[in-house]
This record gives sequence, structure tokens and C-alpha cells, in this order.
Amino acid sequence: MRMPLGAIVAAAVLLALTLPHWANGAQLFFWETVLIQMLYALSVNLLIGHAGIPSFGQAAFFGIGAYAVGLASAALPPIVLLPLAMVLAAVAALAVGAIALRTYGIAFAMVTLAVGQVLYTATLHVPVLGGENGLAGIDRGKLFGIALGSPAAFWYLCAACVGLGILALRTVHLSPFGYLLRAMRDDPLRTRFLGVDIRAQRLGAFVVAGAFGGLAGALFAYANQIVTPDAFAWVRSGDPIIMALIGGMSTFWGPVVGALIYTWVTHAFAEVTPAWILYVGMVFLFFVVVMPEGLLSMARSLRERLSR
Amino acid sequence: MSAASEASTAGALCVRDLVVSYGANRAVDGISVEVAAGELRAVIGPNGAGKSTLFAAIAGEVAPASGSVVLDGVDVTRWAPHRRVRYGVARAFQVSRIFPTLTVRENVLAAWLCREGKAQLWWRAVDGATHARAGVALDDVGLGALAERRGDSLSQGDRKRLEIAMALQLDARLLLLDEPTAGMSPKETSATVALVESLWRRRGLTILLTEHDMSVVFRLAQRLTVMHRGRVLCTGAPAEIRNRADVREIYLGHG
Amino acid sequence: MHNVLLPFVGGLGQGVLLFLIASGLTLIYGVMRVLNFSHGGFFMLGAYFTYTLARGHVLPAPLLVAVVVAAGLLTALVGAITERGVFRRLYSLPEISSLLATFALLLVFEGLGRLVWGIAPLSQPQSPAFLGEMHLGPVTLPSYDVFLYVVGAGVVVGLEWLVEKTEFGRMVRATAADRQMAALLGIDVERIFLAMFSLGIFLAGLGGGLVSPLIGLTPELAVSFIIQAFAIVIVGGLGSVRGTLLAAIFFGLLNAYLVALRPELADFSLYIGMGLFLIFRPQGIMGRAGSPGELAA
Repeated sequence: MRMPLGAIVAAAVLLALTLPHWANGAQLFFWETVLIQMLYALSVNLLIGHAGIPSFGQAAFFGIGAYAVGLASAALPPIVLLPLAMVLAAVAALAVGAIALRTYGIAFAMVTLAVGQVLYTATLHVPVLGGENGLAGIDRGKLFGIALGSPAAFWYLCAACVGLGILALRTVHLSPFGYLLRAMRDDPLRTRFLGVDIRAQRLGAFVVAGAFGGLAGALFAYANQIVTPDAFAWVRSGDPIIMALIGGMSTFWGPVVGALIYTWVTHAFAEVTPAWILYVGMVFLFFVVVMPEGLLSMARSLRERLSR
Repeated sequence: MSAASEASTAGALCVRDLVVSYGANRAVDGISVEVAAGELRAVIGPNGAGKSTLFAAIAGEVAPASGSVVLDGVDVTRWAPHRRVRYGVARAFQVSRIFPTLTVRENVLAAWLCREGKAQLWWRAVDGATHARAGVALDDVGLGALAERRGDSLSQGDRKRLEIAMALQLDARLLLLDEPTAGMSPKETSATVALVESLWRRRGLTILLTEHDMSVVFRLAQRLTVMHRGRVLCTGAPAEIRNRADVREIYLGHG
Repeated sequence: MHNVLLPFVGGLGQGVLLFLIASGLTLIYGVMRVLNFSHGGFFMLGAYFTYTLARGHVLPAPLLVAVVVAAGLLTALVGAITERGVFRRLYSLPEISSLLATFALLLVFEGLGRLVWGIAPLSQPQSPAFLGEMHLGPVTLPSYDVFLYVVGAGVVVGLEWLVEKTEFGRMVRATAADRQMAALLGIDVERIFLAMFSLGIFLAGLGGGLVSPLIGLTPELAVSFIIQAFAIVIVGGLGSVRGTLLAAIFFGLLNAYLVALRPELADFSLYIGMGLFLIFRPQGIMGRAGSPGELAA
């Protein structure tokens, strides 16, 4: 992975810088969605792929980030609101994690699924959250005096935020915390015997993932300029898992590749048939059963086999 | 004898009147063992003699009913396992417990980061010097060439090497090796014996090991303790033990 | 007095419906150790099959019952095919992988629902006989609820008998306890799996059929019911039929009373119940919450 990574990142940055010059508004919006899904899938994979914590409720934190923007976009500029959304999501993750992490394995998966559903239901019932119609007319505001209403200006903000987010998650990935997270996934008891406080480790992972899930949600709200209860919907917890799985859960970059493919494919299928979910399900099933290591891991082990 | 070059020379272990019961069964029934700092001691005895239970009690995995475990003059009998790890008790398991999906280097790195108490440091990537340090530690046990392989791709012998390398990361004074050559080919066995011996000589560790393979025991150990039915039968130099009739009776005769 | 009893009557009926889906889920988990996300998909199929077999007509009660049972059997058939095609590949996978695989299957079923029956709600009319009421002394009960009680009691007694009293049940228990040991004892584990899976799916299909006259049918049924069923099995303790029964009735009643007394909280009843259990009894009514050792699984 070492060698081409620098080149790929450089190409991606170049692409991001020039995109507004040759893409139209709809295309820009599509690519914004792709970027946001990348960040979101990375945050989920930190939990599921690296920490081995099977959360099915990441939408809770995505939604909190999105609704924070929906509620406060008129009052606060993005430079305040984006970090604030992260903090809110992190605090929520701390509260949820402190209770939910008392369970393990599938019980935990179900509890987190329920947490997402609670918030989904809440958006329908709490008047200030706008019910089924959600909160429309989100104001992107200004950054350094530049109005972000224009597609190009917002594209740069979005790309910068996602880029910084990926950089931060990459740092976490390569940090002592990140290494011990993966050690814990492999053998929790051995890790405990090395002197690691597993509870703190799990909670830490949950909070970091929650914060970046919140950032993804906040960007999503800005990009769409409307936020609806769909931000909390349980499919929103499931989608990033599919993305991470397609790309490869044991790798860092897998979710990025998976998000690109998944967003592209669903977009294409959704235009053709209302039953697109059927085909997505079948592709997903194929990956879980036949290729659970995902594309990037497959590529890596293939290369290792050839070089040996 | 072994000159201490790098690590601390301490590691004197004193086990006194130790009793560990599983229900009505006294697996360890009033054992006293003294191991001097820097000694390489083997504990032998037939299956069910209580060797593994003794090790577990020293590592803190089982709580003794009575008796004491004292390391360098400090009574650690009631300490939790992780506290003993920090105090210098490292253990390699009979069935190697390494992290299977991490690379060999990352396995060693994980142990070192734990030792440094950095488990919750998430805002800075592990630096190059620390990675290099892990590489050196791997060279030390002869695994340098396999650093980037996944843990689960290693052979039994290499797994044991890796586990020993991890144990050493914890700055051990006392290394507990439970059947270090179990399940190994003759070639792997002799490589592991050489490794243990060289580490012991270079680092001045106290090593306590159990082993079924008598050739390994007689090659490595300075002194032997023979256990039988939860008790110590005798302790002495290898040659001495070899010639005792009662030991032959219960152990070598069956082996 | 009546006001206090009324939610009880409806809540109990609702509890029975929840029990039918959740019991299949817990049976399958108990024997095969696969938590089946796609269970809700089978539930949806049961409801749609009922609609298709009845062609949306008003049917007399006995015929409707026959149609519901037929729909359950048809669903079980789909279940058996799925078991052979997909699930048997999952038994050796870690729990989380099989959870993801069944999640994928749930998507497949929802997609199938959209493809075959469309996204517009369909409605299966209730039989006139089931719209009436029954008088038991001073209490008046809607007859469909009474019918549901009977079905629920029948399923509970039938399952208890099957698992505890029969030779087949003995083999099932042996397989659940240790499938390798069971295979060594000469039990055909694959057949046990197929049978128990089909039985669990039959219960889901039956539940779907019984719900079909009560609500509008959309492909989203697949999802909305699986979350409730999950909450029930978690609270009831995974793998425990009795715990599942208690939890299902608990949730049915909790919901009915909240609808009557605090309607603004009714939609949250599921989560309130689950949260209470999580805080005070994380291992469930009769089960376990998992252990740190399962982290790696």
C-alpha cells in the first residue's frame, strides 16, 4: 500500500481542486455525497472493522450532526457549527456508549440499532425538529467572507472538511490507541492481560466514531440544505457497514473505496428500478459470504501471493 | 554464570506454602519454591502434577487459598494480573496467544505500547523510532525477516518466538514459559532452546519454565524442581535429579 | 374497571403477534447461533402471501385461517430454500458476519417485496366473524384478539411439547448444546437445522398472515417488525422461548397502556422497555448479555 498511496492522494487532491471547473451542479452534489459517505463509512469502520464493536446505530450520531446544523444554521456560521456538531455527537456517543457498552456482540448491535430508532421516532414527535418534513432552508452561511451558497464554494468546504476528517482518522488509526484497538479486536483477554483497560478503550472508540459520524451528518445537512428524519433511519446505519465491507473492513482505506462504489452503484440502480435495494442486497450478500475480506484486502493478499 | 548486561538483574521469586484448590481438588498442595535472581529453573513433573496451576498462581490468574508469592521481597499474592505484569512478571502461554490479524511487528508494538501506558493516546501516530524499536526487538528473537507477515501466518515455533518477544517488551524480570517447545518440530525445538538460552544470558532474566521434553530441560535448566501430585518432590541440579530413584519412579520411568 | 382492562385485552393480542415473530427468531438463534436479520422479510412474505392467496377478498373466518396457515407454509418453503442456499454457509462464520449476511438478505426480501407487490400499501380485509365481540361473563372481548390468544397458547404449548417431550426435541437440544458432539452421536445436524429453521420461518409467516388483516401491507413491514422482534429477544434472553413469551407480552401490554394513558409516548414504548431492561438487567429476563470473550467473535 505504501508506494501508490502518495500518488493516489495527490491525484485526489488535484481532482478535488479542479472539479468545480468541469463538473455541473448536480455532479458536484453527487461527489459531495460520495465524500461525505467516505468519511461516514470510515467512522463506522473504526468501530466495526478495527475495534470489533458491532454498532448498528451509527445513524444516531450522523443524525445529531445533521439536526444540529438544521436547527442552528441561521444563528451560527459553519466554522462554529461544524465543530459544535462533532462535539454534540461525541457527547451523545459518550452517554450512549457508557450504557450500551455494558453488552457485547449481537446484544450490543441490537441496542445500538434501537438507539438510532429512538431518535428517528423522536424526530417525528418533537415539533421543533419539524416532524416528517424535517427542517428545510438550511443556510450555508459564510466562511472568511465568502458566501457558501454557490456550489463551487461549498464543494471546497466539503472537500476540505472530509480531507481533514480522513487525515484525523488516519492519525487515530496509526496511533497507539489505534493499534491497541485492533489488538483488542483480535484477542480482548490477551489485551487485558497486557494491562489495557478494555472498557475505556471501547468507549474511546465509540466516542471518536460518534464525533466523525456527527461531522459527516453536519456536512450532509449543509450539502442538502434540508434535513429529514431519514438522517436517523436505520438504513443509514446499515449503508456504511455495506460500504466498509465491500472495500475491506480490515484495511483503513477499504471504506473509502467501498463508499465510492456503493454510492455510485445505488445511484445508478435507483434511477432504473424501485427495487434497487434487491440488487444492493444481493451484491452485499455476495461480499459477506464469498468475499468477506473486501476488495482491498483481496488485492493485498493477491499481491503478497505473487511476490512470494 | 549469566552476567546481566541490559535489563534489571532482580527477579528473585519466593513461593511459600502455596495452596490452590479447584473445588475439592488441591491442584497445588502446599508448595514452597525459591528461585534466585537470574536463575533459569525448570519445573517438571507428570501431567496433573500442578505445574500449570503453579504458573497461573504466580501470574495472578488464579487466587491461592493460602500461602504467598513474593517477588523481590514484595508480596504480590493479592495483586491483579495486570499489576504483576507492570511489576515485571511476563508470561508466554502453552498455546501461543498472539494477535492473529496484526502483523508480527504490530504484535510487538502492541505489547510495547501497553508497557508504556499509551493505550489511550489517540491524537498522534506512532513515530518511526518506535516502529524501528519494534523491528530491533524482532531481530533480537530472529523474527526480523517476518516483521510484515500476519501473526496467524507464523509457524508454531515462530509464534512462540513472537510471544517471547512480546513478553520481553514488558520489561520482565521474571519470565514464565509454559511448555515453550510444545508442538514443535525437532528443528524448531532446538532453535527455541537456543533463543531462550541466549536471551537468558544476555538479559539476566529470571526464567521459570515447564517442559515435557527432557532433553530441553537438561540443556537449559540450572536447577530442576520436580512436582508430583501438587507437592514438591525435590529440587536440585540436573545431574542430581537424574540419578534419584524416586524421580525415576514417578516420572522418568513413565516418560 | 373497564378502562383498565381494555388495553390489557388488546395488548395481550399484540403480544401474541410479537411472540410469533420473535419466537422463530429465538428458536433459530438458540439452535443455529445465527441472529436472523431477514426474519422480518419472512414476516413480510407471510403477510403478502396471505393477501395474494385471498386475492384481497373478504373471506369467511375458517377460510381466512386456512389461507393464513397456507401462507405460513409457503413462507416456510421459501425459508427452507434460503436455508439450503444461504444460511448453511453462515453457521461456521463469526456471529457478526452472519448478522451482516442476514441483513443483506433483509434488503433482498424488501427489494423482492417492492418488485412483486409494489410500494403502494395493499390491504387484506378482515373476516366479518373476526370483527365481532365475545362476552365472557362481565368482560367483552374482540373476537380476533381471543382468536390470537388461542393461537399464541397453541404455539407455546406446541413448542414446549416439541422441544421438551419428543425424540426430535431431544435431538434439537443436543444439537443446540454442542453440534459437533451431536453429530458424533449420530444426529443428522443438517436436517435438524433445516427443520428448526423452517419451523422458525413458519412462525414468522404465520405472524405475517395474522397481522395482514390489521394493517396496510408495504415492503417496509420487513424492517419495522424486525426491530421490535429484536428488542423482544434481547430482553427475553436470546434462545429462550419462555423469556421471549414474557418479553413479547410485556411489550404488547406496555404499548397498549401507553397508547391509552400517555399516547405521546406510545411510539417509544419499545425503546423505553428496552432501556429499562438494559439498565437494570442487561442479561435479559432469562438470558445473557454476552461476555468480553465474544468481542472477537
